[in-house]
Amino acid sequence: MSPDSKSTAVVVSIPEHTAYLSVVRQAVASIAGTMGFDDDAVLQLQMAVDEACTNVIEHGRGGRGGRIKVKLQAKPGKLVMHVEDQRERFSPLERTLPSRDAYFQSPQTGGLGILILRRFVDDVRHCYKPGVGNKLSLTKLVPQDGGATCAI
Amino acid sequence: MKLNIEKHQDSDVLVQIVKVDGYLDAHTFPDLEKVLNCMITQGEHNIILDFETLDYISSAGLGLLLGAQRKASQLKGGVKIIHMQESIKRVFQVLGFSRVIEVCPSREAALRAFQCGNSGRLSGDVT
Repeated sequence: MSPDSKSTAVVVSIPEHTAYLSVVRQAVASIAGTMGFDDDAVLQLQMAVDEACTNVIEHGRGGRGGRIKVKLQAKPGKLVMHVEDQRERFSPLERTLPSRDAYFQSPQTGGLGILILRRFVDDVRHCYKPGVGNKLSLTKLVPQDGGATCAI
Repeated sequence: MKLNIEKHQDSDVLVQIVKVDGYLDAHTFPDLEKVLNCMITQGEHNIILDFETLDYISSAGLGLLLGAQRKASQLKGGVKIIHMQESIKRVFQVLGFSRVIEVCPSREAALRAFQCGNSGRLSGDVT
């Protein structure tokens, strides 16, 4: 599939359990690898989506076991990845983005996940529909020269 | 994830070498955490992690490395990483982990550093 082709979508649905995170990462690697992203960018995309799914699992811990739907859309010039759950409103983007120094001084306060979400994709948005659930949408632009990309 | 553990003793310096195979994420990190905590608790706090066959690491894995380094360095030990794949090394650099956890060019270099008393970069403060 070339970056100029029409939108192509892959949908992966997993139980809310960390055992299935690798399934999502494999799907991300498969689709991103065909779009011109290099190894560094593929790893960073995997980390961002992994983080989004892990947030859902951790947020829902102790509750009923639901499913996470990950929709990967290869669009001209960009990869859009939607992570959807059926839980109550929760946005990881509302967490404070720590500085790196702050994180290393007090790692127990967390924040590495939000750092990964913000840094490793070009755009990240959250929306919530009552009765439906949360959708976190991550967008990564395909590098123009087909070479390396690192959203830092 | 598979773990292979080897002890290296040279004069009075004991170093634990843990080879991590597969991926380190929210699902697998507790296995490595258990092993590292056990080593550190037993006073075996010079630890080399061999990442030659580690394909992936998530924030859960990175957080575990940082925690282990902090605990080990408080006991005058440390965690060093060898054979890290380039993409993971880049993530390490971008997120600032290379400032607090040493990535050594080889197993020999890591062992030498421990034998010279250079246990690691983080001893409580980040500079």
